[in-house]
Amino acid sequence: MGITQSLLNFNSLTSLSPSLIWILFGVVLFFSALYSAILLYHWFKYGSGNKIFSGGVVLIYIGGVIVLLILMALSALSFTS
Amino acid sequence: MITLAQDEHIVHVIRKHWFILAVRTAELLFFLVLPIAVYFFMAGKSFPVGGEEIELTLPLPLLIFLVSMLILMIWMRFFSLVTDIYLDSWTVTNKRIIDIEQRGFFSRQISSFRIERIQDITTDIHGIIATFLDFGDIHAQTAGDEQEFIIRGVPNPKKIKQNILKEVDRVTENSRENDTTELNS
Repeated sequence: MGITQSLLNFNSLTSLSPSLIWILFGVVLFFSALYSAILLYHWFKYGSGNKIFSGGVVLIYIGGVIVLLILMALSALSFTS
Repeated sequence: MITLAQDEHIVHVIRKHWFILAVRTAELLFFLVLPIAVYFFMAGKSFPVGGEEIELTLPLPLLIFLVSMLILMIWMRFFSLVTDIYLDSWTVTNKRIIDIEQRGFFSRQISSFRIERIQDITTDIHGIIATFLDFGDIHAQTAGDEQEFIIRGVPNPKKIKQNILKEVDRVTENSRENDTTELNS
């Protein structure tokens, strides 16, 4: 199997290294946590005025990130098991 | 947070029009839809690569994983845009105008100028959509060093201009009254 074929066929790529998807998940988790920390820092430090609006935005953001990370974890679990 | 003087209060906070965010969101949605559309276009079809026929297929859990990852990236980028647009503002107080320019997360420029230094305010509304939705740019020219402050894509620019000019008139009148009182006493 050529390299191009391996890269195009994700199924065989992940079967070569079953932990690849978890490494990818770990990288995404790390960067999303870092990015969220920076974003929340900005909202809490510089966000002036309407506290309800700021709180709402932060809740929606965190909620969305958590839902998507859970979805990723569940699909990774389903894929590797 | 902005630190105000004891006898200073906020009159108006000017932020960008929702349409600016809508345009940028549409750009982001394009980057979300494009790879998914390309995948669904290519899925199940055979492509000749290096003399071999290759079929691009992804198992459903892996597809969900990759699409979730893509949505997560777009989601985070969208909120960084919201932050950028929300924190980029003009705060008009009874004494000065504070111009906060947020460029991404790590670049924040805050400049302020006293209201009585304003020499000229111009509004700039460009295009059909801006005219229809009533948003545009405000340019404030200050005295002395001929510095110009600009805020782009704000709603009701003409009304904001009038409000700022009212504040300028009020401050100028107050300082005149103070001068007259000092001369009389």
